[in-house]
Amino acid sequence: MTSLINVSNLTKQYGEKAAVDNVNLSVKAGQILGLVGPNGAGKTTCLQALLGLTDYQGEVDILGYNPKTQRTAMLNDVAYIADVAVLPKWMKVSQALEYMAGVHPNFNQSKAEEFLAKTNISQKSQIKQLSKGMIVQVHLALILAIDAKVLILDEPTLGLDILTRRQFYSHLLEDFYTQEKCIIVTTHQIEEIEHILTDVAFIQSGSIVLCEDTEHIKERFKLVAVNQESIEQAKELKPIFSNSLMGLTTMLFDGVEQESLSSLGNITSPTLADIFVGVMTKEAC
Amino acid sequence: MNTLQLTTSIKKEVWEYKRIFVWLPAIIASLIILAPLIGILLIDGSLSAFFLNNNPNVTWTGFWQQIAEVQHDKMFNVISFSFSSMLFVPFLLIATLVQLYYFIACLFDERRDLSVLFWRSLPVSDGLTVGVKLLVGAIILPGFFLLAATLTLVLFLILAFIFTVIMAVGYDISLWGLWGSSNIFSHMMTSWLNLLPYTLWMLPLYAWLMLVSMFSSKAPFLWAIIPVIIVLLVEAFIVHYFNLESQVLLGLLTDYFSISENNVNHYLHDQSSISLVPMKVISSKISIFGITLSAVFIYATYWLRANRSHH
Repeated sequence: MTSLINVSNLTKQYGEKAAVDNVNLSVKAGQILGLVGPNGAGKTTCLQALLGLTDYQGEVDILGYNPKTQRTAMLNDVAYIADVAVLPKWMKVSQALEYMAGVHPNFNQSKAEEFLAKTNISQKSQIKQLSKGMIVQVHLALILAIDAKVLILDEPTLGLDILTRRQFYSHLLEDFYTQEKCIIVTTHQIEEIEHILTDVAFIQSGSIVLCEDTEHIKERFKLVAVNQESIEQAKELKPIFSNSLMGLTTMLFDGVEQESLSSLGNITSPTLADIFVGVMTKEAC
Repeated sequence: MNTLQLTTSIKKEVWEYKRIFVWLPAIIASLIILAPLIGILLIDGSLSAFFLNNNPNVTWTGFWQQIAEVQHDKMFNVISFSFSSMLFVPFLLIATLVQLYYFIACLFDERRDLSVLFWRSLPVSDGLTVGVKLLVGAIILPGFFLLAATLTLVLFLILAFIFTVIMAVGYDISLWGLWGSSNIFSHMMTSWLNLLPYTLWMLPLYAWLMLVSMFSSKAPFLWAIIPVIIVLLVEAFIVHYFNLESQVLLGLLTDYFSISENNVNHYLHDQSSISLVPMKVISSKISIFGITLSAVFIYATYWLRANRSHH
């Protein structure tokens, strides 16, 4: 697989504080990477650096472009949704289409029009007249009609209802994703995109604390509903997360052999959300 | 940069500020066209009755006969220049106010509503964006107002043409010579040509407002004037404290932005080239220092848009 994004030692300082600290990432064609972290972890700053929207230290290579010096050329092949609420309110949908066709060499206006035709959004409508869900659909129509190799999404479904969120990701897979492209998405709602991610990176205080493909990560982490009598024995295996609720103790183990865990209780594959909580609260255990 | 990106970016600015770009000049033009008609309606009786009441010794046709006899006089050049100037002045005054508003808002509004994140996610360079906004505010916006003024003038000229035909056919009074001696088309043309030196003269102000629009997080209008006031107050304090002769900065500012009677009189010696006087006066105000300062402000605006985090 061709590597489309390479990030080495990416650092972004705000005074003394490092918002992004020595991040290394590589995203290949066909990968959908979820960049997951709590508020203020540095997700948006990281994406802004990738897009050349903020200054940074380190090296970033996207499709052979340096985002610092070749941002405009790079954006011909890189599409970006910063936030659902960033489409200009005064603009009409038809004007957005005309503008995109005028400034973006890889924008296919008829593809965007076809997408919008399936919705109940009139091209004569102004953005400010549309509901939040409709604005997302317009933004998605504009982005999906770009023949981009890299798509970067920063909390794209923030504040949307569950139906619109699901619709968003299903359109993303159906109308954009191919094996030649890659997607990076940041989100808080990891459980909703878990099934579409090929890779996940957890970011905490500006540093990547875990970066694995989702298949391997589920083999590596095990969630055990520990029997009461085996709790002490389980603690010796150093779980990264432990939770006792209504008499049931569950523990998350990292890299412990299945044979060692089988005697402790019922073993299940954790969700990415379980692993995220476990990794983020590791020191609490 | 390609031509399609440039024209689309200009179109975008016009869409965004359509109300002030299109509707405002149209409203002023309508008022200027309707005002004389309303004036006539408000005067008791017809225009000729009004004229004859004020000039009891002269008949209506006699008046136009007298005009026809002196229609090649240079005086008509001055009259037509005054007429076209009076017609253009309201458009240009409002255009200037609108320009100031546009420059203060053009880079501030997109940050306030976060749409800057959308614009910057597209392959349009920051240089093109800043350049287009400067071009639109400095040339295209006043161009819309000049176009509206020109169309209004053309409407008056059509009425004047019809009047000339009526006088020639109905009353055997030929006023065709007035068209030549009034140089009205030349006055119209120079009003357009004045735009370029006017832009260069005002460029430091435009560039400063764009920088403020890019720099300020809140209240860009206050940011535009408060630093200038503070600098002038500090200078006034220093001048007062050290008993210096005069305020240099205040003098420079007032000198740069004011047009004195001397400036005008210096060029006002020939009635036949009166339409060139504004251009000569305005051109005399352009300075290398002003252009250099503008370039610094514009570069700072570009740098902030390219390097500042907008999230």
